[in-house]
Amino acid sequence: MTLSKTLNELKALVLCGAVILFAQWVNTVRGGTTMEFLTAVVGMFIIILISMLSLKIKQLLPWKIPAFAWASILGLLVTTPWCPFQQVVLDFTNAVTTGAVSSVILAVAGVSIGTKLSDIKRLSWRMIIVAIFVFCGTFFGSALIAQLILSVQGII
Amino acid sequence: MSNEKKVPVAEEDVYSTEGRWPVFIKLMAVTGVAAALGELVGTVKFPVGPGNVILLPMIFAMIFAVLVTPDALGSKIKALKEICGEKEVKLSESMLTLVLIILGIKLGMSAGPNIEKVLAAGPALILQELGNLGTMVIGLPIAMLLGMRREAVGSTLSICREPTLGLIGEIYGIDSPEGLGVMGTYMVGNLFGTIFFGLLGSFGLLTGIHPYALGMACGMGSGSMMTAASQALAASVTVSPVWANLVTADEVLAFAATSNICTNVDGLYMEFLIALPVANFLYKKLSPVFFKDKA
Repeated sequence: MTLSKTLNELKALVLCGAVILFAQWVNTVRGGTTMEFLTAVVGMFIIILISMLSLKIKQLLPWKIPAFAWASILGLLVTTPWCPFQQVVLDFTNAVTTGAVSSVILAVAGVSIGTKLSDIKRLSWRMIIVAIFVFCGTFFGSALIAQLILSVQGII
Repeated sequence: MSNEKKVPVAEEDVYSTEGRWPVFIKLMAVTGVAAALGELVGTVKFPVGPGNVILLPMIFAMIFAVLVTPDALGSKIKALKEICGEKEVKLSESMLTLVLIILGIKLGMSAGPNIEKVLAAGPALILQELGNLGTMVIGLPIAMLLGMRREAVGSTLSICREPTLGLIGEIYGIDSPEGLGVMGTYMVGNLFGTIFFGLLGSFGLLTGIHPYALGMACGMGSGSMMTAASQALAASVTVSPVWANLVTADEVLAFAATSNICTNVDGLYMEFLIALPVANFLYKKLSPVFFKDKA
């Protein structure tokens, strides 16, 4: 874990942040609303700071838990009502919309399958059918169990 | 592993900007434009049965991004390869990790303010993890019905993302029938998984299952697939005549986020300790049924 590596991660994150804010700006222009640009920039700065922390935790701990999970855990911890700066964090980060982040994620994901499109020729129709059942299986499997337990608990 | 000498080779710095600024800039420009075009298309709703199915800007962003890659229009238009070539595609895999981290934080921040609701739903959150075995309980018989043999075990073990490739590769070898099965589901997931879950998240609401339960179902261990499913679900809830006044988008995202944390933590262990033994057991029991003529 060298300093230059950390710096490169930071630079890459800043680039991601800039693209997300751009996507969000386009969204607000289309919707005819205005964007609280300065607040969003500060919010993004906070998010990037937590991102760096998640990357470092992942690199320092030997467990096989992805940085994505650490990011969610940290994001959760700093916004619980028990966190002294919950309100400050939320005031700024709420100006960054999850919608814009998602659009950028799927755009990057789209580029990343760019060299895998030829795989389509190697797939049999059987594989595609099985995969559809696999995807539905995990989704509805979890949903049905959750539905059952939540109703037993009286939450829903 | 123990007799392998640890070679102190510096870990490859995938985010190294040295001499690669053009690659970074080009990639981010391509994704920025694709995301912006997606946002310009906006949210498309079409009525299905009692509700709506929603296509979010992100789905269009993904389609625009795929179009400019070397395998798609890039193979026809040379100039596109200059902007988005192999190097950019390679970098995009690393950048995806970073953008997903940013989303992970945002999702965690939906859960934080709702922490009391999340804790109250703790038992459901933990037990629904077993639902991830639904891949195999439903998938394995179907795969065998279609004539697959040991490939069926690999292809239905889970949604088969990279960790599963590693696991099966280590146990059976990636060229084994089991390995080929995992590769199959992995490839289908790469190509269609995100869009499929983007639809499923929205369709799910039409089944009458509670959005909280569906939210938990979105955390299934793949970053981009859970993004697609949870965003589509959250957006559908806010326009649903049934749920809009009862459930907020943030609550849905809170359950998706915490469920995804659970899957990230226990996923690989569950696959190894529960899913694989159960799959092998089911395969053994079902083989005489499906293959009796050829046994």
